[in-house]
Amino acid sequence: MESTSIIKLNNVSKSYNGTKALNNCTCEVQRGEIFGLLGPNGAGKTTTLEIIEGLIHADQGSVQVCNGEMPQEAEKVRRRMGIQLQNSGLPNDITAGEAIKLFAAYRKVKVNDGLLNTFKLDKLTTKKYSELSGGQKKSLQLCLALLHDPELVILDEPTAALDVETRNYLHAIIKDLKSRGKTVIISTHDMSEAESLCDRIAILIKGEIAALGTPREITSGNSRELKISIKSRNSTLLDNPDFVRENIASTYKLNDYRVYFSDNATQSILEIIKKIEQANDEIIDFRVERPSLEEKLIELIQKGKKI
Amino acid sequence: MNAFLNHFLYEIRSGLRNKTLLIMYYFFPLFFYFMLSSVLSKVNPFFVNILIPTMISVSVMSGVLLGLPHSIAENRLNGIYKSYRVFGMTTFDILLAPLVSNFLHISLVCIIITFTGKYIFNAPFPAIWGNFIILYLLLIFALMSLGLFIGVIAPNSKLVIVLGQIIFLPSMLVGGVMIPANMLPEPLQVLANAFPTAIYMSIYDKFVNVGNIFAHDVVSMSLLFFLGLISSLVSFYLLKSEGMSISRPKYLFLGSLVLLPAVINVIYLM
Repeated sequence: MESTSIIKLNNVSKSYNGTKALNNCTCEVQRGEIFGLLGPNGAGKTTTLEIIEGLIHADQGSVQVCNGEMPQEAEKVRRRMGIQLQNSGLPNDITAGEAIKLFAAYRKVKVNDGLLNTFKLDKLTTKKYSELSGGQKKSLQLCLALLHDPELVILDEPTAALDVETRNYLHAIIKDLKSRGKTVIISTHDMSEAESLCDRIAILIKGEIAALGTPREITSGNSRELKISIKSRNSTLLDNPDFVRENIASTYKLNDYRVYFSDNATQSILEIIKKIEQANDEIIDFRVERPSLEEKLIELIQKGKKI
Repeated sequence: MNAFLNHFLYEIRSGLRNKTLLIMYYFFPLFFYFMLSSVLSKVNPFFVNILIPTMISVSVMSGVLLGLPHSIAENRLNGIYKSYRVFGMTTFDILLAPLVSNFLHISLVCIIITFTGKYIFNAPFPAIWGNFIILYLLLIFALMSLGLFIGVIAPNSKLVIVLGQIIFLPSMLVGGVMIPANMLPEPLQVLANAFPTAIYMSIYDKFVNVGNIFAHDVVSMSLLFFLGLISSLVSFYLLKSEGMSISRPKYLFLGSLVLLPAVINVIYLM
């Protein structure tokens, strides 16, 4: 019987020339979920994905993918995976049609016209790879990754440098994969994309998993932290970070707003209103919301702390 | 089979689309052949006796030492082989089709040389065709495996050219291609035995025209085979292990292993 986890990373570490790219990473990806890998540049996202794909070997730890040990069973396991690399290349002179036919033959599948239509490649089959636009290249790579209807799809920054229309189109394809029971792992810099697409997320900071959970768990988690944004008529608090200190975890200025993060929002709001009244100022906009994923990521990067 | 055929046909088309490969496979060796043969057959009437093996050596070297490593290194360094892997090819799949298409391109040029050599320059046909083919296969196997090794280890495209020339130029100068080996100073004659073309040229007449070789020639031919076998196995291992940390001593050991048959041949024939 197949386990509910399709990927299991256990204490995985990897160094390049003495620099740790991954440090004791442990996590599991469940079947049928969309799992996001987030983090700043150099956080270890691509290294993690390439270890899962069996393209690079971990220095220590164990990696299990689709019930196979990586990298020992890489070639066998990759038959069950659809992979889009961040910087994948194809020969410049290969046409889209030749590439599809070639890899379909190696996958032992017939080319599905529906798949070509889905990726808008049906009219591009005679175009050389070098003549395709960035978006068309990504579409071709994704089409090649999905030719054999894999159960696990790994996409490394698939929407980077794509226009809005293509990006939305790709999001629809990813959601469709999930609806068909496929597992999707996606690495991205786009927080809104991760928030809207992913069931669970791991945030990598300097090669370590700094946060793991659903987007909601990560942004609010067990803490009661809320984000309070205030704009006042006289901007009394705008350039004064010490205007309110009690219960405030952090604060910064954003355009005309002073933004506070508080674990005790009720007390903080009362305190802020009281102080603004004392300063004879007037509140003209006031918002209380859950911190966004992006803000959480920035906070994690700055603090380097773990949830 | 269908996958290999698809890949092979693409590689053949790609070879014909790629200007660098066209030059290395066809233009350079054929131009060199017609130019050199036109001049040397008039200056030195005995040259026609070695015209065919000489020009076959040049063509094979041009294709497998200057053309093949370039395309392998380019594909490897640009992440194309990595893409091939994730899109379903094994390391064997990645290498087989380009090597076979390379072999066909080069062999086509060698066939042109063999037949036009006879009718244009009056060069003698090989007396024993079977031995001619065996020796040719040994030469191309050894050199193609070395070309593969260069393409797999070169860290950048500039070094591909340097490494290719490290074998190509000495082979031309001391490998019996430009200058007959027996006209070289003795230390160079000894050194020349490290190069596959020198082995090929020294054995050609005895094996292909007379059909009678000595024990040391059999040893040299075996070493040519082992040079090819070791180079191709090491290259295959290194390409398969891409992404795995290979220690420097292990890397050096594998490199020495490739050179071993050449070194043995030099020592053996001293």
